Amino acid sequence: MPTPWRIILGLLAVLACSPASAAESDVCIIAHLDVPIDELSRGSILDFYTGDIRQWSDGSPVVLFDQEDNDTVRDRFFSFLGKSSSRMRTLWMKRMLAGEGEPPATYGGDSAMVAAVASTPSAIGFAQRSAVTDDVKVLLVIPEREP
Amino acid sequence: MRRNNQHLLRLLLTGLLIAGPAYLTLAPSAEAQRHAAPLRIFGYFQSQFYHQEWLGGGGDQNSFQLQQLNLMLQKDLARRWTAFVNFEVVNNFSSFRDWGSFNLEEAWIRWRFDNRLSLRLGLQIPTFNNLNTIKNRTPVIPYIIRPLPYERSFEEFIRIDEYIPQQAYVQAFGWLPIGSAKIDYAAYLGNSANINEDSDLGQTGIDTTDLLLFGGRIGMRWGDFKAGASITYDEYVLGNSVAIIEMEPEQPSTNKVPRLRLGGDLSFRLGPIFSENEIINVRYDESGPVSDLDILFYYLTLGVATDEGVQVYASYWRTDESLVTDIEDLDLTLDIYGLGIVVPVSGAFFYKAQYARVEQEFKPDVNGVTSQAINYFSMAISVSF
Repeated sequence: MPTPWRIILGLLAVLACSPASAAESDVCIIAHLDVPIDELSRGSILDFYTGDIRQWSDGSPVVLFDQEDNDTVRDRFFSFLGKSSSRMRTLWMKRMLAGEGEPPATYGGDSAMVAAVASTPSAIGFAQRSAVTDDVKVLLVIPEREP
Repeated sequence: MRRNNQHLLRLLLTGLLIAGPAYLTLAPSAEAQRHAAPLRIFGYFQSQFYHQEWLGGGGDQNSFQLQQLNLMLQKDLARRWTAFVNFEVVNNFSSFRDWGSFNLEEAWIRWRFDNRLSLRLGLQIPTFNNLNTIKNRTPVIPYIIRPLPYERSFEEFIRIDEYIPQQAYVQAFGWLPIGSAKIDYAAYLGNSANINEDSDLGQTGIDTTDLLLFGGRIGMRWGDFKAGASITYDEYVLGNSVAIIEMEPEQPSTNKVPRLRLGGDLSFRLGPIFSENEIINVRYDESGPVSDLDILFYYLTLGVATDEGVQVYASYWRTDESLVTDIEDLDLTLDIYGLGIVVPVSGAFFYKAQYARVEQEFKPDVNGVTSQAINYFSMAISVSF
């Protein structure tokens, strides 16, 4: 292989493994700026998304957002929670049919999710870090490669 | 002492029924009033085709059936309050043809403080074991024919009311964290078994005694592991129109037969493997005129679920009813071996198929026959909307 191509490929490999690149594809759990906490554990996020906990610590109702099906960010988010998306759908349907609440509203794409969370008090959602702005609070980061 | 306790309970119940709506009327938040929540209408139905063959010969059957349709309405009335109504139609309901039934299953209002305490007032399905509150939510359970005491479409020939409490009117429930586990609880009050079903005798659907049904469940969840124990207590008054009394027509109407239902449930997921298991034992006080009456039911389900939501399972159910009286001994056992599959077409539409082999043994004999077996094949669509 000619030397210039080796240099280019080497540079690409370095870029792909750099912290900045990994950070861009991290999935962030984001919330509206008014929520009364600054970080969340995996267990608490699972409690929110399964409906076990429906209020923030100040008593305001948690508003859940979801991304549309077949989204890799969505798959990574639910995989982090230890649930498949079909399992989550069943859990939400159980809740709805038991009269205990609707499934989360869905948004197509990270930018739409960030905009929805930013404009909805008490909202929580998830998006790729590259789309996250200062209009939302980052509560937890799921690294691209979990340990 | 017992009478005083019942009086106290009635006062508490009355207080809750009055104070709840009063609080709702007087204290909804200003924000809730400004942004009235919409009325949500949703539901589901399950329609099946089945083939049933009697292994002793004769009586084979093919039939389509709209097994069940539920229509639900929900409205959030204020920040902590929601109202819910659930209508249920079973077995190709037609009032014109006198088929099936149409039921008001639930109509309740729920006040939620937080995860530790919620209170429901009004007609509701009480918490008992794992399946009772979701037994009729066909899109979220894998079965076409449910474990028998939960199968509403068999109500015409199985006394499902004996096994499981069907209705309550006041229920407190919630969960408490203990380390990484959650302790679930539910406690409820409802009517006793003495419901008037004869309009010639007065208002139907009401408890004709001053007795109540008391019940509850305590359980634990830890990750995908869930277990619990359930109990209900009520009393039959002999002379009312229930099955036990028909066995003892000579007993004075003031005699009471205490009934205790005990339940246990265990369900878990281990990777793709899931399992659901329950046991129910119904006991009657044997010091009274019914010398021995026992009902036992249990089911075991073991299956595999894929990430896409396909489920394949095998199950075994058993019911055992025995009644010993001065007049005669009755015994009925049912062993049911089943296989099933669920394939989701979308998040709201599922194909289901199920095979069940039913083996019955009974005493006394019917025309010299003491056992029979049935093969049951079924396919269904289950749709939520």
